[in-house]
Amino acid sequence: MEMTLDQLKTEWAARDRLLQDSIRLHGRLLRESFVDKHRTRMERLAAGGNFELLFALPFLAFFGWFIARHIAQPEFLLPAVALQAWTLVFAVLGIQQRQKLQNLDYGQPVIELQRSVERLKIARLATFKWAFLTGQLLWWVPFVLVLFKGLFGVNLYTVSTFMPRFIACNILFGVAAIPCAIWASRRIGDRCGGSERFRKFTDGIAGRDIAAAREFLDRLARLERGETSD
Amino acid sequence: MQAANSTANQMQATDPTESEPSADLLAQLEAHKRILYKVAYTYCRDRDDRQDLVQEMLIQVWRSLPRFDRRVKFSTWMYRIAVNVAISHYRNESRRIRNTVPIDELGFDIAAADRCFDEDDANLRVLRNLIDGLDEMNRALILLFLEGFNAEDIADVVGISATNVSTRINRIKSKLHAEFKAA
Repeated sequence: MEMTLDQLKTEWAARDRLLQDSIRLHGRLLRESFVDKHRTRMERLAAGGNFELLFALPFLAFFGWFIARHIAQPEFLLPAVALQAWTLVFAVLGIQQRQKLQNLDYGQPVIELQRSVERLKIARLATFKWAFLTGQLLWWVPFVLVLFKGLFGVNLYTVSTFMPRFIACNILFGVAAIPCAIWASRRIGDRCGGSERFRKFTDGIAGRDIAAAREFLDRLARLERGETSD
Repeated sequence: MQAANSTANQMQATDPTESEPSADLLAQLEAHKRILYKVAYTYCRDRDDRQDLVQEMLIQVWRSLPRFDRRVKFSTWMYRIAVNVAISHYRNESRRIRNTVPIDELGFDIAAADRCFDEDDANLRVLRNLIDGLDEMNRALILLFLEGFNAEDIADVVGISATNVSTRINRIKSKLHAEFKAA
């Protein structure tokens, strides 16, 4: 026997009537639960937590202090300024994106909200990708140079005659690692059946997640224009 | 002027003395509670997932209540939230809020609701198969159609034109027809 969509609609309505008597949801219990019993959890959820800020503040303070003390020494000033800028830019981006996510109005029409969510996702993925790729460059040799000079007063440039070449090689290697990491994550992600987390990580570096989000945005645009997507 | 009205409308949604939703909004939420389960059923096959999804929807509805604009029908607004949360959940975009507020404490009995949509029934299996073959946006359209919404109302929830809605519903009808023919 063939079922039509209209017959399914009648079936659905019958189930809906049963549902009315089966589900209990009390405004009083909601209020008690959200406002009294789980207020802290709800507030934590609403605040979202500014982990970026907590992570960034001690580093910003340290790099700021270091820059002020080594303003006339470009070999220390340059890595410290780069680290300060990296920390500041990615902390601000992280906080901005978290706030935008918190402020999304889920009561908007589906297309509008989903478009905002997907755009935010693209921004978040791009931030993660570039934070990782530039971070591996800055948070190795430049950071060690600044850390040793700032905390222990040790000038790593002069520890040995080999050191300046070692530092230069490391920085060049870090720069070269950026396109290599993108290429490798594209290759590894396809072949590695490993953990979901690792696959997500390689997808993030390879830009596959961004491509998927753009594809969904295109699908939304086609839906809005009345074009078929399937 | 319109912006001022909008702000005023949104302000009415909350009790001015506290940041909690007013009693009439809670009553509306209670009256439309079935929406949450039906949207969750449309997007999640797994029972535990459905429970998580209903919990996410409830929290999002609660958090959005102060922003409710009274010019929009409460049911339309609630469908928008439920579908938006469900699509984000479906696309693995939502923040996991598991166990933030245990759902059984709210009196929302998922097991009892599941019994109403018992898939031992042949008609419901047909419906389930149809839904499973649709993408996340078409699922929203078919759900709203099954709910008895007309094209204009569906367009209002989804944010596309009523003509577009009608075309898509017809396509889904044809798909169902073709599937029966093939079977």
